[in-house]
Amino acid sequence: MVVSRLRPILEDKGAMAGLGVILLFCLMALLAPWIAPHDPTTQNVRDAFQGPGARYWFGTDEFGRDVFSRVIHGARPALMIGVFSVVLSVVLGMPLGMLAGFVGGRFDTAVSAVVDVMMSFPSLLLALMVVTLLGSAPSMVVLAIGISHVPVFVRLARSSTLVVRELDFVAASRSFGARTGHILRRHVMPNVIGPTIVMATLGIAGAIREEAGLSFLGLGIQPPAPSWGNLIRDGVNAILHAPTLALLPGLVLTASVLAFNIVGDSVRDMLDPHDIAAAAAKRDRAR
Amino acid sequence: MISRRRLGGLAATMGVAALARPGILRAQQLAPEQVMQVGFPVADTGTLDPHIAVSNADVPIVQQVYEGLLALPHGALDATQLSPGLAERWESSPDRKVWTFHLRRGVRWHGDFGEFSSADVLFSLERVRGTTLGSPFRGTLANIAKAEADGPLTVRITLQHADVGFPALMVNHQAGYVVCKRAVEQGVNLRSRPIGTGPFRFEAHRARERLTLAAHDAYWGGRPVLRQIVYHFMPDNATRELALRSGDIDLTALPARQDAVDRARAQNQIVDLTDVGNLVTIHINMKKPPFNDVRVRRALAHGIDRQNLSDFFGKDIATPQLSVVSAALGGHTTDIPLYAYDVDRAKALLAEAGHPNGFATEVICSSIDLYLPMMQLMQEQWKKIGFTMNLRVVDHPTYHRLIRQDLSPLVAYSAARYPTVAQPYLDQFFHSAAAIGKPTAITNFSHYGNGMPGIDDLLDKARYSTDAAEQNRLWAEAQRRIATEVAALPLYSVKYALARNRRVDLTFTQKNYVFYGFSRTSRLLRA
Amino acid sequence: MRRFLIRRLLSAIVIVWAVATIVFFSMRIIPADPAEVVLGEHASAESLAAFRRQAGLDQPLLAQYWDFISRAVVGDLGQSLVNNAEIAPQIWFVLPYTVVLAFASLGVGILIGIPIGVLAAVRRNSWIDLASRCFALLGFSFPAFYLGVALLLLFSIWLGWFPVMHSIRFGTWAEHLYKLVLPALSLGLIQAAYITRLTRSTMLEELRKDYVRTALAKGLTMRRVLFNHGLRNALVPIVTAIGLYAGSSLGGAILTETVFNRPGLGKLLVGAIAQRDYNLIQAGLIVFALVIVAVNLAIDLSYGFLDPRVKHD
Repeated sequence: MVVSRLRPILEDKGAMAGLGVILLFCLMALLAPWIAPHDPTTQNVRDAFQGPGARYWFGTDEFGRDVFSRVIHGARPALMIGVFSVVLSVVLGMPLGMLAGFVGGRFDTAVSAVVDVMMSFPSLLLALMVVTLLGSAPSMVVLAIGISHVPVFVRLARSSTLVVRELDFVAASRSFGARTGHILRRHVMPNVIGPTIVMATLGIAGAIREEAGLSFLGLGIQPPAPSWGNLIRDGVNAILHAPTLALLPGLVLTASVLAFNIVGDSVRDMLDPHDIAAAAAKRDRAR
Repeated sequence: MISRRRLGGLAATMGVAALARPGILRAQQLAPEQVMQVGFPVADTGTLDPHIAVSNADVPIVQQVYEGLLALPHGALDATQLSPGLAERWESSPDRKVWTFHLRRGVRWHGDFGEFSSADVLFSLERVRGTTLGSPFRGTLANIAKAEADGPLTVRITLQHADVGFPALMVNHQAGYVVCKRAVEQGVNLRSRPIGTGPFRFEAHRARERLTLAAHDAYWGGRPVLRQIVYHFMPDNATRELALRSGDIDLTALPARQDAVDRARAQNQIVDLTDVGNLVTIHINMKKPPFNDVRVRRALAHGIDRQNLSDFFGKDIATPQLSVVSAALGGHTTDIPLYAYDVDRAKALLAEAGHPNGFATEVICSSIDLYLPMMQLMQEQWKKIGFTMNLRVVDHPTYHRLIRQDLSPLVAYSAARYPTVAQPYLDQFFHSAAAIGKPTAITNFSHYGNGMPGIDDLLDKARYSTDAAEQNRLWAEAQRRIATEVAALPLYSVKYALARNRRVDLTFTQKNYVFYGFSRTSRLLRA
Repeated sequence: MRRFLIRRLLSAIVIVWAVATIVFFSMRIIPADPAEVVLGEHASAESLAAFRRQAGLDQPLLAQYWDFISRAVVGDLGQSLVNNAEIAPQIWFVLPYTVVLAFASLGVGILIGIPIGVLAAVRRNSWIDLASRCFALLGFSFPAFYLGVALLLLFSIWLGWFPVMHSIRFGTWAEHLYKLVLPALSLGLIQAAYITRLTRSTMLEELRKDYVRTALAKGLTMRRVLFNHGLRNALVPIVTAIGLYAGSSLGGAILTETVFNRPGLGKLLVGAIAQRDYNLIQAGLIVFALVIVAVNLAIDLSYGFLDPRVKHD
């Protein structure tokens, strides 16, 4: 059902371009060691702060490391954290939201209250807090961003479930005494999964941006490992004499976020536009 | 060390001479507004309590506010050129065990805290020596047996062991600062509201914004020329550099890198390179395998390319150092086993120690500029000999906590110790009593001497020796042993790069502090 | 109306209380010892113990919690661990900067977003519409801090039109405004993207409605219909969205303030994190939540004024 509705995406040029860029980034991340012209951490102090050129496409940083190679390797933490943190928030948020919507009552009230509390925090701030408390290993960054996005998916799943719950066939199977888990899996999930996919695609865009933000503040991926955020941070330190160090990695970062946003938008348009317009507002709220 | 004769001479001659140095300028050559705008390279100050402050974020401000019985020369941490401060003169008993200080009359505390007297001196000494405050400088005054007042203007200090260098501790530095007894008794919190006798008094502090000092017009040395010193907290390098260019600030600290120095010079600013004597060292935990094998430690030593380090920081900034007692300290020697940069030799040593294919270890590193770039360079250098150093980067406060829990096998540490002789440095980093994990722990991260032969015998003998030649011999032997065992890897000493615009006239040479200081006569000239 | 107000106010208080409680307890599960943070690397065991006693850290957790809450209620947020200064005045000092930045960027967002959104809706599928959609997509994708860096580079460093950092000296109002331009733009452009998209879609929906068709059929000009009815009805969802973005805008302020070295709640918090000043982190997070809850409350109440159809009961 979802797949058939997604078919028009193949005819949407913008979405295809976005998908192409995402694919490119995935390849970049997978093949980084083979396609990067230099080792991302090898230093060549005498070549420090070279401008962009034939040998070093994006120039070199203070250690004489090739920034282009670092940007290529930076795709790895960006995509990994982007995808894993969203997977985490879906895995935590979707079942909780479905259950809350389906069971209703006090459980629903409690879940909604917690979600409200979490929503009153900008997710960057929430992530900042988690990283402060637990440290900034990549797994903690995933946890931090993942947790901060959970409420979005809870709300989304809950509202979609509320719609489905009242449908005749669901009510019928309920009255036949079908088990909650069974109903949720068979009837509710298929209706929740579509909007969730959209939100997840857009969520990856948000997560990549947030990882960059955390690393920019020095609280994300730690050097010498490259990440787009800490590349920009290093670049800003040298912005007076080597501005491309901040500008170029930033462009790559923006391009990847843009690609996910374009694809997410197109998928949104394909699927029922009304459900998802509401969902979009909720996603935005999480930012 | 200060010779007996020089100290005596100082007492006689330095009375008023020190005050008479400002060059007379006509009024129109002075800037109309004598407010020094300082780009201070930290996010905020921590504590302004002079008996606690050790960090670069605190000490430069403490120096402007507080004084000691004796005064170091402006801009130089040089114990051989002391002049009278809060004490006008001082003398010792012939056996150098009893020191008497005659205090200056009519010195006013900042604010409404009245006149300075011997009670303040006794209070300050007790404050540093006692355990309630937990002053890091407590050990400095361990030699004091008793301190007593003889009227409001005389203080007599009796030592346990004779020490010709004792007056060098009673200066405007660390343990020697004098705080106001009445202020503390009235509940003033010296951590956030310093009350001193110096030419500048604390005026206001906006957290993470700026801290303002104002002229102390009742200063005993006369009315300061600068009316205000405003320290703007600017942790970001690029922001400071631009602010200096635009004239928003008058002086600041540059990142300790050659390119920053060159750019400032190209902008027609004055760069002051101050030799603070900070030695950057990597201490090796000699108890943790595989570093418990001296061959591994020697391999690391052979794997150090000091040329690469000084290429990175620049010739004006980093000077390679071969001994753990840096060349800036009295007692330094290079008559020790030296480990030339030799990748093959290092690999051979590692193979001999059972690591023919090298090995990997996680090392904790602080995220601050002082350590992270350097450790990234070392990571790269050691990769070549087969040692993979995986850095776990943590923020600076966390770093200090973790290394004191013995969690990192290699510990990078940049430090200078006062007085500028080998003893305090060796005591704190290589005496077994200072080993991490002991109740008396200071900064012996290598555990040298703790459950293994060390240099305790040499240090204990040298500590109160009155024979300078004998001390030097003992210190040299200590350095030889440390180098033979490779308890630590001395890398380089750093100069700090400070820059100011041409309006700033300090009226003295800034020689060796991490940041600019100001005297009563420092001033701003007309542009 | 009154009942709605009371209910809404109560729930806001509960949310802030919940945030404060969560923040308080999570700050206590971390392994770091505030005493070590305060007294520094050279502290002795005795002085650490003395500090803990003095700061009440040796009390049972619940007693500490009660103390914290009862003080917070009267606005006493405790003292900074690092510089010992009272926290409340520090926050009061920087809060206006953040609020001004948030409002200014919102202003930029509205001034750019609503006209473009309305135009795009009216001229659907024209080049303006296409451009507005591209603009919105780009805006969603540009990280605010990166946009800030780019603006800083272009306007401050290369062109020299704007100052690189915030006030060194206390200036006039004009100077404050001048220094606000770049930070407000870097946040505002991104908000403009959200507002453009939202305005466009709500306007499209309004324009499809019968009354618009009727009005147009009656011969009223498009412009009059637009301003008398369409925009007014579209305002409600837009204001809602603005409420939703209050959080994001404050979150963005954290990074923007850091890029432009501008004082504010965000920079205060980032500094506190860097220095591990747990008391300040705790207070900062609570104030953040307070501000966001207050904004949402204000938005909820404003519906009644914006749209007479909305009745609170």
